[in-house]
Amino acid sequence: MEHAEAIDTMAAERYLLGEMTPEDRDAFEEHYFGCGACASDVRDGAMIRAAVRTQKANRTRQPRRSVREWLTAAAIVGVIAGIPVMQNVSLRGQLARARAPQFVKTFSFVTAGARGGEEPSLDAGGHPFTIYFEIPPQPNARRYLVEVVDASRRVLAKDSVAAAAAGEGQYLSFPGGLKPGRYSLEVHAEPAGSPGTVWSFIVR
Amino acid sequence: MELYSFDDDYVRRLREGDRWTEEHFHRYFNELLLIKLRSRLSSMQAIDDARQEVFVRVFRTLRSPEGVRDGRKLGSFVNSVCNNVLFESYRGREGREEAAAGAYDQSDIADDAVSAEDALVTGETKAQVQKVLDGLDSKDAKLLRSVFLEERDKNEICREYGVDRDYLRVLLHRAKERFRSAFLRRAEIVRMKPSDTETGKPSLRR
Repeated sequence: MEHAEAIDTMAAERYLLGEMTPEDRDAFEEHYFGCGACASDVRDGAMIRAAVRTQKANRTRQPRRSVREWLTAAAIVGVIAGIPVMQNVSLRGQLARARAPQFVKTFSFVTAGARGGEEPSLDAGGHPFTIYFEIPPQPNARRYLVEVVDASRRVLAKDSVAAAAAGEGQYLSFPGGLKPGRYSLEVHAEPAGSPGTVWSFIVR
Repeated sequence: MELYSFDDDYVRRLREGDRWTEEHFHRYFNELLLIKLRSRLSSMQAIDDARQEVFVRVFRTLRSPEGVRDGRKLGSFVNSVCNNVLFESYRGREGREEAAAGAYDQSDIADDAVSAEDALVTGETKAQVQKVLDGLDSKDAKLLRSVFLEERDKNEICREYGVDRDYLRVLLHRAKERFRSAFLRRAEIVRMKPSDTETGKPSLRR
């Protein structure tokens, strides 16, 4: 499908309203994946559609967990690991079970080889766990960006630590666990200098 | 919202593992893949699996000796990989509804799959879209809700509201344009929040 045809026939609207034949739909997808303007059209329309749907959903569904709740869960894991993460955070009823002390697995990457070393295999699928690692100091670094990336290169979490923290132990807590799969923990200095440090790991 | 043209330089940066390019690539196609997969697969899990598989295959090809020859066709390449993944998914679920020759009606989509699209509307964007919907004529707003929420034939809904299918398209187009104008006025950048889709947000603490 050509761009002019997509515009003339209101292809994005027909696509989102489910009015296309399978052939037209395939042709339009082939076009909009490579056309910034039509991709934008589809995305904007999909947002409208999603918003209309969530209007109803919001009336009937339980509220989503707030950032505060997730932070609360992170704090609990942090305390268990001996790390004062946060204080004076009120817990909600649905997280009451998480109040109780519990053991969480901690996996150390300190001796695991970064970039090419043996991949640690973490037996923690779906359960809370913590990774302990150290950031190799880099000259002129102002801070370090730490990311957790899945096999499809999707960034699951991003955080930063001050340059002074390099060489000290860091805990990365996963209060909700991770699904089984392959991941990597990546540390990059800012401003960019030498290549970052990457630990690939598998969650079983 | 982001208009983007791909080229050989972009593909080169992806091949070399440039993290900013990777992040952009992921954000850009994650949305498009969610929209497409939502129309074909009936569960959030199936959508997520297929989406991940597409990214894995695309990166594998990008970094193989063959790579992608024409950077301008990167979008088309991602779409074709997605088609292959879907085809294999259908074949693997032979006899199930998804394989029904591309049978395609938004009302057939399960709530679980619908929630995949919710990821598109986050934070400020949600407020903007909501304002647009609130600003619609009440009849138009009801019409849109009926079309997207009720599991009824769209022609029947249009008859009930005394409009034709063209009106429906124009209405959606108008809402989209209003949203875009509001968005541009605020000059904000729509960003996905990938960690929102995980079971828990990892946090770094010393």
